[in-house]
Amino acid sequence: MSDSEIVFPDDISDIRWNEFNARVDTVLKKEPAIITIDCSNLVHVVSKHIELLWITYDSCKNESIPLQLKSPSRSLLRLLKLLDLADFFSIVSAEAGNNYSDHFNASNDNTATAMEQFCRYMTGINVPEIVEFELKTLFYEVAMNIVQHSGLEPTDIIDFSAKPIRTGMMLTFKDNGEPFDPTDNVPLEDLREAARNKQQRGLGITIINRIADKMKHERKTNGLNILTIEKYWGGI
Amino acid sequence: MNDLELKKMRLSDDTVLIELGKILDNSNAHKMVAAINTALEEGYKYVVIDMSLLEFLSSAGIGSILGNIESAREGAGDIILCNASPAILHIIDVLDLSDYLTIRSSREEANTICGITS
Repeated sequence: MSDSEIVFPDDISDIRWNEFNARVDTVLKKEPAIITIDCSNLVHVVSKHIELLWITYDSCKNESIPLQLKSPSRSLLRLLKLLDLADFFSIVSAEAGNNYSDHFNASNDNTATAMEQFCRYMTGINVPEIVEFELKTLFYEVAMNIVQHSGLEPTDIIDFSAKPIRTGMMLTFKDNGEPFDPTDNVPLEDLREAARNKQQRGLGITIINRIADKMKHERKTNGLNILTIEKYWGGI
Repeated sequence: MNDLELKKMRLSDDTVLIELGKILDNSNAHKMVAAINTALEEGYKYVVIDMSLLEFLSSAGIGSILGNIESAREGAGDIILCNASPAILHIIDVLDLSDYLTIRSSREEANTICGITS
């Protein structure tokens, strides 16, 4: 992170508000060419976030220093547009070609949080919206299969990485649990038939198989499971 | 309404409405199953599921609806989805369920199926 980049807080308590403003003042005094507000931590946007962004914009404008928002979520962008404020901010995304990596605890809540972080990365590199939704779903179903079937404890870690490839994206999941190979589990062929038989299980594997274009599962001798998935759409 | 909440209300003697929050996934799919089961056990024929706030639907969420469709239809009723976003409809389509499920673009259209006129 450069000297003129400031992380925007998700927690908008008085302490964080004051800390952020103090940081903005410090950076402004250095008279940088541009100030970048890193919005990647901002999960739930509330009006106080918008108010703080506006105050920051005003402070920068008074010093004639341009301001840009880095990796804003779709919901933040939508809210700024709704309030007719979007045009006041320059938006910068993470550059295409940037890889992404994360690790998260093997639990429902942590999976959901990791999924949202992955979505912000995809928004930042301009993955088309419907593809982003498919990849978000794929991430969730794979991660939840690992959480539910690999015998991992909630304190165990799942490693995840995403890498843009020429024709789309490659996702990699690594864990040290019992092997669970979605390529080995037979997806439901006809979900209507499954519904008629009141069958509720097996949908996750079916979704994974239908969204992914290529999958490979490896079990290393040290017990590490590596699931690699490729999704093609023409790339970023 | 919080992201995982389901809100249930009676629309008519035959119909109950379930309004979903932003998420129907593994953490709250069991509540959906319970809500639909209770509605059918209480004698309601139709369950209208309003998805206007729904941003994410997991396989467990789909399963919670799918597992009860036949029960509703055996009772000469149905489970009707309405106000689903294009992204949600896309996932339903990926699973080839668009023609199997009863999906309408508005609550008014869903109500018509249930015989409710406003």
